[in-house]
Amino acid sequence: MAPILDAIQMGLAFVFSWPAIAFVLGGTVVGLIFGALPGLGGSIALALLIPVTFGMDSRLAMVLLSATIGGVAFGGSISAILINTPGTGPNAATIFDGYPMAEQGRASEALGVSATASALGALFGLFILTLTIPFAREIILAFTPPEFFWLAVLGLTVIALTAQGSFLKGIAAGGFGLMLSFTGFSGLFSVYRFGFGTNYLFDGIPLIPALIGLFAVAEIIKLTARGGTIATSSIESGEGSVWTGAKYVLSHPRLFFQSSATGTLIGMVPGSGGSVATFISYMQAVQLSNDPESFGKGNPAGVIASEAANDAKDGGALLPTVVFGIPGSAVMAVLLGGFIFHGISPGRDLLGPNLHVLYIIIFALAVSNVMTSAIGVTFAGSLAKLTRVPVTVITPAVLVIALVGAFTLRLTFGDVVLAVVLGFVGYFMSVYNYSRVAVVIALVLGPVMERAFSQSLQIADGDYLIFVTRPISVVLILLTVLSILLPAIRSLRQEANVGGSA
Amino acid sequence: MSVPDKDPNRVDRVLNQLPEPIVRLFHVDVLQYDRLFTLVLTIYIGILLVMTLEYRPEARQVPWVIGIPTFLMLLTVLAIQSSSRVRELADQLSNTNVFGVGGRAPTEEVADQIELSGDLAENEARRIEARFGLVTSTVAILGLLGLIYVFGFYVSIVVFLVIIYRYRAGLSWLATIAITAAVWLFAIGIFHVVLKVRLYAGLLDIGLGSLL
Repeated sequence: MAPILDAIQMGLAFVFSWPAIAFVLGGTVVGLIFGALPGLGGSIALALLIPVTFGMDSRLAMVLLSATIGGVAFGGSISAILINTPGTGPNAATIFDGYPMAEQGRASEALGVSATASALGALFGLFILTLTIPFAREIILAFTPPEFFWLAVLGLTVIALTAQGSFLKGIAAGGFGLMLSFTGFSGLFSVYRFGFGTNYLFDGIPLIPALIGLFAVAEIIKLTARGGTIATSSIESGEGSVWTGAKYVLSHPRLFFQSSATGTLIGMVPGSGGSVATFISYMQAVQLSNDPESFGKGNPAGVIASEAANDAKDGGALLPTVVFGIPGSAVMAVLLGGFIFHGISPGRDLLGPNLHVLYIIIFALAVSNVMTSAIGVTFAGSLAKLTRVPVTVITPAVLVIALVGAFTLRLTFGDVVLAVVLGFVGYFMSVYNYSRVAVVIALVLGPVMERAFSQSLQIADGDYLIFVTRPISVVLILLTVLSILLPAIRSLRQEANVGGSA
Repeated sequence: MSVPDKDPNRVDRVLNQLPEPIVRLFHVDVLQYDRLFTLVLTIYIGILLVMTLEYRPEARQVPWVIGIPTFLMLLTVLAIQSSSRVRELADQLSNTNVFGVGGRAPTEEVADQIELSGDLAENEARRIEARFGLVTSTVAILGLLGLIYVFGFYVSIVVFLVIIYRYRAGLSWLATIAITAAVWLFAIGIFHVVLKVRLYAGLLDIGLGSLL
């Protein structure tokens, strides 16, 4: 217990020291802006920021990246409430009641509800994460290469869950990402694979330029192809008090805890996504309400349900990311890229010698969520105006910064070309329903899986039984099979329900 | 980089000047492009699988385990996209899209970003406009890449932003210069000055990076 308390103390002291607190503020503002701008969001903000952290103290870099994540969720609710356009996917459920409140002239109250529910929801999720860490340390120590192999395979089956709507394409996208991840020189086999006769790919597909391409450049293409402004409708903040909204949250503790717990739990399931968390939480709130008809017409309880779950899910999603290196969401996948970029390994490293870094991340997220709500409510109107700027003004600037960022990590022009190429690949994947998140998860987990596979065989002198004879491995195999079959089972149950009700 | 809102007939005017085969590409069904993209992915995975034949058996073990099923899955997607009989069979296997590729139609620009109206002609016009936007943004992005390759970041950022803001977005010279300067100072300030990274100076290195 003593190492944990020491790490907590170190983390807390660092986050509140100078210049870390300034980085929290900077990351919060960046997150707010990227969250409020529909089409951008957390993944792009992080992908663009990681190159900026080049050469930076890794702890400060983690503060910046975590604070950015903290700012995104509430930023997305500002545009959802004021202009009926969710800044990020998970904020979509906020529209149902947030925008009607704004139309009724209660925008400030809605923002107050969102700000309070977001900040408290995030703190709830992080508190649960903190409680879980001591157990996670014990679990991770029981893992050896065969378990890590199955863990990576299990993580890859998350792809099946991210492939909502098009299972085959989602799995194929994961396979495509894995094949990309095998590119480069393999020290295990002393062979340079899939190099296409060039030396550029010797070190493999660089993760950060790939992320910049798949997310930032792809979204720029998407926005510019569409044209116009980011948002088309607008509404002013209107009458009503932010404090009325804040008090409303505090006077509904049951709804708040129920929504936050839902968000945290769903966030822990890799690949389930923030949108799933917020919609399930919203549906729960409607089902358990005494006045379900008022939802969708400006009921602040709808905003609590959506926003508390949305922010609480980040704490939950951090758990599989930091413990097993399995990203819980697209944002966490990019954050994992940031870990790798700064030489921080999830699992034993982050739960052992670098435990204080984990607490730095947790405290930075907590502080940024509180800051986000305060800043967001104060400047919500100005932020909303950004969404009415034509995309022809925003996207060229973002494109330039994205390409400069892609170059600076390895000082190779090839990385700029790669970001552009993967930008177009990412655009077409998005348009034709091939999951980009699946590619990113595969890029991160592919090398882990292959390394663990080879190490396991080395340990067992080539005996493949090592993969199926260890107890934890067997549990992971069962979970993997369940994860693969889950979408099919869910579909069959839906079919049975439809058949039954017909 | 995008379709200006001010002149709704601009797309038609430009398309009228293009050869007929190119214009026809703007009218092709979304599913055709979906199939083409799947085909490109299938060929890419196929090429990788062929390349593995040159490697030692242990080095191709995992790529085969992943690549062969991926290749087969993409072929299945292609078959479903190309044959109505296969599509019917897949639908019979599950009408809830367990194996499906067609449960969610390809979003493409028009369905993803623009609210569809009941008017088919209007939807077609919007789709063409969005595809035109895609072509112009592709030209702009590849143009920027070419500029960077030849002139490097220091010059290209200025040239690119001035052209886009002044001539595509139609901003005033004052706004163009102000935004260009702000973005240039931000990019160069963060990376060149703060992080001490010398940005790529291009084939025709005019030494601007050294002067800064």
